[in-house]
Amino acid sequence: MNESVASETISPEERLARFITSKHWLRAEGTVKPDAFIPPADLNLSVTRHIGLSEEQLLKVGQDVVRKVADKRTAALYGRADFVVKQLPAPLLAAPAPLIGNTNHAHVTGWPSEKPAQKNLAQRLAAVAVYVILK
Amino acid sequence: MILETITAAALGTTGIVGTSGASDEARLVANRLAGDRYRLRESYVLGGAGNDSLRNLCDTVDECGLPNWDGYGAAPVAEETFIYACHFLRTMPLGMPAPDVGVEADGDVTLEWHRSAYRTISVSVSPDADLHYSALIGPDKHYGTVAFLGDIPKVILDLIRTIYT
Repeated sequence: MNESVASETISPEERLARFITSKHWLRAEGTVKPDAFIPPADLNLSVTRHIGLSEEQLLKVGQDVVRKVADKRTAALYGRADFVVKQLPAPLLAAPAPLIGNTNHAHVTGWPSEKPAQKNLAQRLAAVAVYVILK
Repeated sequence: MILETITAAALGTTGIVGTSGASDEARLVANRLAGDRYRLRESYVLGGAGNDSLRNLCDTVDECGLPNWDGYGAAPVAEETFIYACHFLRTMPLGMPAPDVGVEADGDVTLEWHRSAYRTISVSVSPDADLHYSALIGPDKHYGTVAFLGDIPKVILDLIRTIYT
């Protein structure tokens, strides 16, 4: 992992990844549904910054996310949804949120508390995100 | 438990009534209409897209019934959510395209009708019988919440039809 990026502000040109850990977040045509971007109760959507990571290191981060649920069900990492920070629809923002073991962890913040407004933002984010199948 | 719930939802014995009529006669007529519609649907879409949606709904609930099913701390799908989603699928007008079933981090089940990134509608079914919808139709954005009282609200049906016209 890249320790030096942990506290850096995230530039508008930076690429972020949301790991796809449910097959129900994917459409048959190979695109990502807005469901993948609906924030949890704390309104901090977990993503991982690409900066300083190789494809292999990015894959390892995704596998660590999946490992958390492996004891409860057959877990799988289906891929990731990539997008660039400047593609986030307003008022969403990206903020560093480094974790032990994943210093590239970040949050997409600024989500409204109303569910329909969250869905609208998630739909617009899904429209620009690119699904990447991890090999 | 899931199987019992599926059966109840499929047979329309969930206590959700698709009419606002309060009398015994109104209830009888509503139940008979629902039964006829269900049998017609069975013969009409047997093995088709409608059944796929119901199967996908069952898979979704099975796979997302425990907390943290996504590795990010997601809430499980509640039994009430499953029942309302079943009922939504069962009351869809004949001839309407079947939705793709998904799930969100808060445990809501989603039903999506999608033609392209900017011709798409997603409806979240919540455990308290609220339907949260959002549609992108070209540059236009439509979103809001409506109560699910047994029939699919007109605003949602109209948006689904717009997606396909």
